[in-house]
Amino acid sequence: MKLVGISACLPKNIAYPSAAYERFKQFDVDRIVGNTGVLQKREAEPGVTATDLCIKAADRLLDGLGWERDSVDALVLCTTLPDYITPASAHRAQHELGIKNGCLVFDITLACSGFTHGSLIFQGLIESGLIKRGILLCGEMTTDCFRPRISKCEYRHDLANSLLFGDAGTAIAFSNEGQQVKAKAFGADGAGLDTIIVPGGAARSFWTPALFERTEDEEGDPRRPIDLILKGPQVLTFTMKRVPPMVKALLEESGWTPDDIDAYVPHQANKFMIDFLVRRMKLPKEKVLLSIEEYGNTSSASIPLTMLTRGGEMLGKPTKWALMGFGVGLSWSGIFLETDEIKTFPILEV
Amino acid sequence: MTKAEFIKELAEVLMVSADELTPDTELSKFEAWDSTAVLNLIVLLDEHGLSVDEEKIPDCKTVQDAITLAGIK
Repeated sequence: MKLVGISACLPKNIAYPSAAYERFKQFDVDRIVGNTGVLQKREAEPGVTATDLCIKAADRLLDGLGWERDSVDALVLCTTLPDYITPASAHRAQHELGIKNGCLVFDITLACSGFTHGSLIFQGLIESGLIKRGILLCGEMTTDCFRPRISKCEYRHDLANSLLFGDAGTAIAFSNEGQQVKAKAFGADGAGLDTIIVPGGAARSFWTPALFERTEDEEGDPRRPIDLILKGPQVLTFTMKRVPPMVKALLEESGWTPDDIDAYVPHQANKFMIDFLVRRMKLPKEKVLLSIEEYGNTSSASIPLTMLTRGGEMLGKPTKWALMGFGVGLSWSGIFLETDEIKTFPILEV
Repeated sequence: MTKAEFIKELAEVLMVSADELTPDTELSKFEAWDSTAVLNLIVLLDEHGLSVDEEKIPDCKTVQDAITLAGIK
C-alpha cells in the first residue's frame, strides 16, 4: 500500500476560547486551554456536516492527483456523526464525487483511531489484491450536536468538550503502487465503552423527548443523553496503559529505532496527553508533530490534518512516519509508514 | 517518594505553597482542585512509579486521603 495524497477542507469560522469568558470564569477557561493546548479551532456553520467537508476534500484530492473517478475501487468514510442513521454517508460521497458503481463503499464509526484503523483496512484491501486504488475520508463535525459551540456553551460539563473539539474533513488516497507499511498494530477494549460516549440517540436510548431533557448528573450539572461524555482521567490512564506498548511493538516489527523515525504523529487528543506520552516514551520532542493548538481535536481527521499542515518538506521526500491513533471504543491502532512523496493540496475552506 | 515530597508536588498541582498543605487540609477549598488537577496528579504519581485507581482520586477529600491513595506511608 502506498499513501499517495492528502487533502483537507475546514470550516472557515475560527473560534477562540475567549468566547467562553462571558459565561465562565476566565480562570476555569484558561486552565482548560492550558491543558488541552487548543488556542483556536474551526466551528462549522449550521447545516455543514462532516460528510460535506470530506466530499469537498476528496473532490480536491481526486482533481489534484488526476485520478479518474472511475479508477477508485473503494471509498470508506470514517465519522461518528454521519448525515443519516442509514444509508452510510460514504454512499452520498460516492454519488457526489461521481465515483463508479463498481466501488466498495461503506462507513466506519470510529473517532480518535479512525485514520489508523482506516489505513489498516486499506492495507488489507490492497494487499489482498481486492482493490488497486482507494479513498479514505476522515471527518468530524460535532458543533451544536454532541457539544455546543464555544460562544453558546452554558453548562460547566460541556465547557471542556466545547473548547477541545474542532471540525474538519480530510481525504486520503491509497494505491497498490508500492509497499510503504513497515509495521502495524491494533487493539480494542470494550470494557471502556462509557469512557467516551454519547449515550442517547441510537437504539439503546431511542428517539423520545427525553433525549432533549436535562437531568442532573452526579455533580449536579444538567445534561442531556445526547451530550458527549468524556472521562478525562480514565482516558489518560487508558492511554498510559495502551499506547507505549503499542509503539514498542511497532518499533520491534519495523526494526526501526526511535531515532530512525522522522515524524511522530499522535492523534491530537490534547496537548497534556501528548506531552505526557512524549515524556513517558522518551520520544524526540522536536519530531512530534502538533496541530492541536490551531485546529483542536478533530477526531479521526487529526492525524492526516497534522501530516498535511505540519509535515512540511517531509511530505515531498522519503520519510519515516509513526502514526498513532487511540481513544473512543476504547480502541487503539498504529502504523509505521515509509513514504516517498505524499501529494498535498492547499486546504479548502467553506 | 516521601510524604513531604508528595505534599510539595501536590502543592504545585494545586498552585499553592506547600506550607498551606497539612494532612487535614480540605482539597475542595482550592480553586485548582478540579479535573485538570486529577490529570496532573495521575501523571505526577506515574512518573514516580506509583499507579492509583483514577476513579478514586476525585473522592479524596483531604491531603491525607491523597497520600493514602498514593500508598505513601
